[in-house]
Amino acid sequence: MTKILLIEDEEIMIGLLQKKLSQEGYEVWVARDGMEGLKTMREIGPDLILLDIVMPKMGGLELMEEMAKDQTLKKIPVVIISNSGQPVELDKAKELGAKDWLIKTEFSPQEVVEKIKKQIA
Amino acid sequence: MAVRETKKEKISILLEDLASLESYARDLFGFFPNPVLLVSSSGIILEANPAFEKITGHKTEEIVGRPIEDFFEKEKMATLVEKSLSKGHIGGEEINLFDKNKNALPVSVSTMLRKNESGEVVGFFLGLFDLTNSKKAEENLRNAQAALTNILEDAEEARARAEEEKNKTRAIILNFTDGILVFNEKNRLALINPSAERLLNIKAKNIMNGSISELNNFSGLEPLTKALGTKFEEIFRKEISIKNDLILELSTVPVMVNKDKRLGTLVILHDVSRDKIIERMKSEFVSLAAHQLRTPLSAIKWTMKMLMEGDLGPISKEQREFIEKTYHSNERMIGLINDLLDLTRIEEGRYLYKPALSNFELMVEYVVNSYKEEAAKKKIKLEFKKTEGKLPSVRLDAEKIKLAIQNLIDNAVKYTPSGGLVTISLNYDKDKVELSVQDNGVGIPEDQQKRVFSKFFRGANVMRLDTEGSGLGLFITKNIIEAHGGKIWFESAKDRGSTFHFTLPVKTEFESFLKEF
Amino acid sequence: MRENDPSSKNKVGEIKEDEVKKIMKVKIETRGVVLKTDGEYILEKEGEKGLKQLEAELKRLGHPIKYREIETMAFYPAGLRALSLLAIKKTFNFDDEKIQEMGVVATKKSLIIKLFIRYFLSVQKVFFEEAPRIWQKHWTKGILTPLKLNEEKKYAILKLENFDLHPLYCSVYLPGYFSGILQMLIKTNKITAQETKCSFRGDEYHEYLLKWL
Repeated sequence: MTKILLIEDEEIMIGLLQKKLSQEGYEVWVARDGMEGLKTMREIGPDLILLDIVMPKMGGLELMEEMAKDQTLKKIPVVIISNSGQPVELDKAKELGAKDWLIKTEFSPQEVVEKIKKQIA
Repeated sequence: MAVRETKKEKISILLEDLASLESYARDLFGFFPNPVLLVSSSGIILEANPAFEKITGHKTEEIVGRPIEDFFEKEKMATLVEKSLSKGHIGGEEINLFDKNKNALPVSVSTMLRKNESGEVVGFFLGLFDLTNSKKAEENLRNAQAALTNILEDAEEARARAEEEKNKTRAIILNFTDGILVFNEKNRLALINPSAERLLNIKAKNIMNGSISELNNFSGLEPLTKALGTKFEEIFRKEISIKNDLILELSTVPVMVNKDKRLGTLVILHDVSRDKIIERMKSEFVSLAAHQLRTPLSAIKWTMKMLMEGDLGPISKEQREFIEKTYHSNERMIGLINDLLDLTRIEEGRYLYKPALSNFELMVEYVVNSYKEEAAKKKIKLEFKKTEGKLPSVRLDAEKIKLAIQNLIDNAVKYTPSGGLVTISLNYDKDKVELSVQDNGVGIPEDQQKRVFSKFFRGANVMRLDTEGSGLGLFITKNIIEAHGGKIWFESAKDRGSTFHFTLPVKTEFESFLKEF
Repeated sequence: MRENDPSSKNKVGEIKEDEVKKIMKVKIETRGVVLKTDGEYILEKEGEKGLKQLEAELKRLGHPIKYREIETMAFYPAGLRALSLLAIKKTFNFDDEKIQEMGVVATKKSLIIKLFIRYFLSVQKVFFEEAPRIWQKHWTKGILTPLKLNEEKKYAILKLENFDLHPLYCSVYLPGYFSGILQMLIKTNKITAQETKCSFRGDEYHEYLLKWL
């Protein structure tokens, strides 16, 4: 089963995405901040990461910097799901290797699934 | 007889000699070009030569027997006579001689005593030298001197004025809050003002007349020298970081004379550190605000969507109705938040994020394509007319321009009824590119056309149709276009449709930059 | 010669032949300078034309003078000198004042006077010492004696004896001549000279009174 690591701190979002993604047949793992996310991805080796930007302890961009240092981790495709959407941040994310991004208020959960499908079969 | 004859002969010879002598003396006397007088000890003229007659215009009989003072400045001559008699001679004394018409002639007088065989002084010779010509020459010289002095004074005045102008300019430059550096035609530093010294943390005397490579040796100046390069290409508001908290906006202006001769380069350093900090703070605020405002809205959106799509279990028709309404209301809120966030970011318009040379056509095509689905849904024909030739590259902020294009197409599609036509066309000339979005929709009534671009405007006719729309779209679009140095305008008629145009300039112009300054 | 009134002015009469003969009989000789100064004067005042006129008159009188050819230092009959003056007076209608002026001017042009200038130290010297000598230089006859000189009261008296030429000369010309010499010695604007005694009027000698301001 395809493993998706969701790194997000908003409870409602976690609940909704878990529901949607598991309905689509994905195995959903959850981390609630960057540090937890880093630990979890090392443990489970996900096929794709859905990453929020604004999180406590370690934010999305900081996490990506850490991932870039690791040969294995940086290979994992990352899709940014954010609500700030500042061009500066998104450019930075792209620089650090993010494959795609979306702003939560612009996309629906179904569209998130479509974006995932584009990255992994 | 013989003796008498001899005597007679001798007398005759003597007389002949006397005659010759007389003739010789007369010739010499007559020839002598300088006026000469013989004056007795009592100051009476006993003899005057023809030159004296000539210069005074008097005849000998009018001269001989007259006191010498009658022909000269009286007191001065009396002094000269006294001097001559006591010293034995005088030389080169200047005095005025009066001619028959009472004109004063400047002359130089020399005298020498005459003594008889017993050594008694019988009088003195007085010789004159006419100074009229030399006096004239002197006067000409004086006039020339005066004229020259005038010219010098004028030149001095002009120089003083130029100096004053120079000082004024200098004062302006010295007191300018922006840093100013001036490089001469040899690309050596000719001037640096105190503000520049302060910003770069350098003293003028250390770097004056230095070349770029020499300046490079000073710590902290590398960002500047690197940006300037060796040839001083034109730079327009390039941000360079001198220190962590010191960000400067660098611009260079070539100083030209007669449009073809380069005198040097003017380098302007504008401290944007504070502006940058504010910008960063604002950006951080907006980011935070965006996040904070959107988070609950996205939660609502996704929940409603999943409910509608049955991902959370079956819902009744009645429930569906309410959920849909909630969804739309939320969507409106999201739109409003988006507009407000955009507004905050581009209110100033000055800081376009990373303007870069872009393919405008491609950008327009991308946005047009993104509306194909929606247009199809509304049964509106969407047309994209490209140009024959290739569009020139335009310097723009991609994200914002896309937003502007989106806004226009969005309006066109939104306000055109089913079966309508929306045409997007491109055009260009050597100065600009132009985008036109034409629809045959509801149009804008004439009495409302003036307020189209103002904040929160929505046409009265539109509001009846669709209560969505914040009214910020065109305002933001206008700000975006104008921040790029472009123009936006439209033609419209009620119920006949509207055509919106905007242009973007192909080159940044220095004149407008300087005007701003 | 008593018929001639020396004090007559403006008498432009023909010069009679007798008169000419009488004048030329006088046994006195003079230096060319006196004629020379006459010629120079006429040339100046009446021009080339005038000089020609004068020479023509003299020729007519039988005693031509070519003024230009006169040798300053040579000796000539004194009669010529008198004739010259008479001819001038007649030809140009000169009055006595003019003739006297000729005397004044002559002193300034005379070469012989120039030779004496080195002695013109003071009035006294010239008057008492040089005056007689000046006369001797000019004339072969006659003695000029200084009688009195009062510089304070500003007058002088001269005596000329043994000299009879013509009243025009001694009564008119000569006073002018004396004034001219005096002018070169005294700084004064006005000098008057007049013949107070004249042999042609019955006096024993000629006497001259010179006054100045």
